Amino acid sequence: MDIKEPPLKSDLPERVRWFVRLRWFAAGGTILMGLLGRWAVPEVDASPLLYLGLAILAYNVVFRSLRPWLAARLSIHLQIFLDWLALTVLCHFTGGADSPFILFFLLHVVLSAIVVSQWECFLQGLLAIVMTNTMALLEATGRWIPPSFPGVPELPRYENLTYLLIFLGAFDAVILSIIYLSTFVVRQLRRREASLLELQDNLRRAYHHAVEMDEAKSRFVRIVSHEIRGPLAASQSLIKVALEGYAGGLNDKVRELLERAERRIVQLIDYVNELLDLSRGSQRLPEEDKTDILIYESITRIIKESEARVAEKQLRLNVQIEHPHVIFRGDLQDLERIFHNLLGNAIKYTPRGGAIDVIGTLLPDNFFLFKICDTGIGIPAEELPRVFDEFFRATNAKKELKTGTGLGLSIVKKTIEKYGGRVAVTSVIGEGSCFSIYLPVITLDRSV
Amino acid sequence: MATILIIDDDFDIVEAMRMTLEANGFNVVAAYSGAEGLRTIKTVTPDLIILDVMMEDDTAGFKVAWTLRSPDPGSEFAAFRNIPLLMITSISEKKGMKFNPETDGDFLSVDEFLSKPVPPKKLLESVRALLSRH
Repeated sequence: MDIKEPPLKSDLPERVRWFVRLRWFAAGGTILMGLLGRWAVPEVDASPLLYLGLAILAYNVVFRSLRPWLAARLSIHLQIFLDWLALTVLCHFTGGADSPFILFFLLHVVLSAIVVSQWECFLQGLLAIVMTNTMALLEATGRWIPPSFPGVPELPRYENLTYLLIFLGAFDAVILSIIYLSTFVVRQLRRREASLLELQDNLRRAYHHAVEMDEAKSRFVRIVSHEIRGPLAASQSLIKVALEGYAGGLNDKVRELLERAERRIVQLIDYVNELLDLSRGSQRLPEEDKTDILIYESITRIIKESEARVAEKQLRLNVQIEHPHVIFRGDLQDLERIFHNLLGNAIKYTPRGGAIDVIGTLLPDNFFLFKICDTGIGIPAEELPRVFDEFFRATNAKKELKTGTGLGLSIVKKTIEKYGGRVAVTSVIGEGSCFSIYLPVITLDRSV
Repeated sequence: MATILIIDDDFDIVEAMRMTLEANGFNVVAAYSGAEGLRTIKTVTPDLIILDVMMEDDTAGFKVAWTLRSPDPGSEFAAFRNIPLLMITSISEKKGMKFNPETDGDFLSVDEFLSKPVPPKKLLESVRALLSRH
């Protein structure tokens, strides 16, 4: 599992790019305004706007090309500074303190709050305040006279210094408040982002730990099982030799005891084999170990192997496998283990004279549905969600058959899931169970 | 009387097979490691070899089979190349190792493969079949 890390501190270069992208619009807008102004208000010289637009365009090109060399933080501050300057000039040529473009200072302050830290934003805000106030005061004192537009009355606030100062005071207060509010919100967001990141980090660690533990458990089971199998196999071989009479004659009592001992050993061997299968169920299969297997052949073989037990219990076995040319890519033993366990359970838990249906069909999304339904003892509804748990056996199954490891269905589930398939079960107590497995397959020919 | 060499590091397994085979008229020689097995092959020239896989190391049995069946004309085992090999091992060891003659005959030429534990009847059946074939 690979979780992509959302940007937090590492996103400054991304913010530089974002700033540069936005500025193309500002430069374009200013140039357009210059051109439109020339046409709409021919009395006023609109060329300063045109030049300003070109200047914005020029420094944007510079920042864009300097991106690989200029430190992101320095770049952002220089950009904001030049933006203040450009905005001040724009305001001057569009009416000074009364210019509608003065509102763009507020917008830019919010943008700055997103890209730089709180105190940096305050410093930048103070710069903006100094520039706008200086401009207004220079204009009011007649040192930097803004162009007058025909039809627009002269600016009255420049005739009343008190009013101008109140206006500037309010403007400055709004700028500072916006900086405070927006940096506050941004900081809150960043803090939450950081705690989410930490949480995500913890989750990732926990997940890796769980995976490692699971692997360690499987490894342990594998090693222990191997070690247990050796002595068991040896014991069984010795007992068998004795039972065959190769070690001399046996009286009936000794024979019976040996047979009982052998049965218990077989039980234990089966148990160890299932533990091994379970630990192998979650083991990833290297691609080179996979082979193409005809599902039809594999099912048929397992069914053939079970024929004797089916006949012994006088069960009716109805097999209906469509699409015999469907191929499963994987390990033959894995596939047969799945079929073997499911069919084995159906035979075990279906009373004499019952019926078992084995149905195989190809689904449109390249999945093969294999259903095995019986008229067996069924699974109690409240226990149904646990049937795939390791070592779990349904209460009625335990009553029906004393021996059993409770591993068969968890082996089935793990093995199927290893290949990206899934298994589902429906059951009615006393009526029977139906297991459906969905296996990813390869179809060579759609018409098969 | 055919001589059978059992190469297996499990003393009890060897004993069980030895009793079964001897009771049925075979002459049995045992070796308890791959290296000892190879030495014994040269001294007794068995008619059939029963070979375990995991002994002194996980693939000792394979190494014996490889050495014995080496196509190299100068091989010191050239004279023993055609002795039938019956390989026995646990099913779990089959995993990922291609040595089942039915499916991977070209990979390692053992003549038959049996899973442990081998029932005496099955062992006798396989031994007799292999001997009559050779």
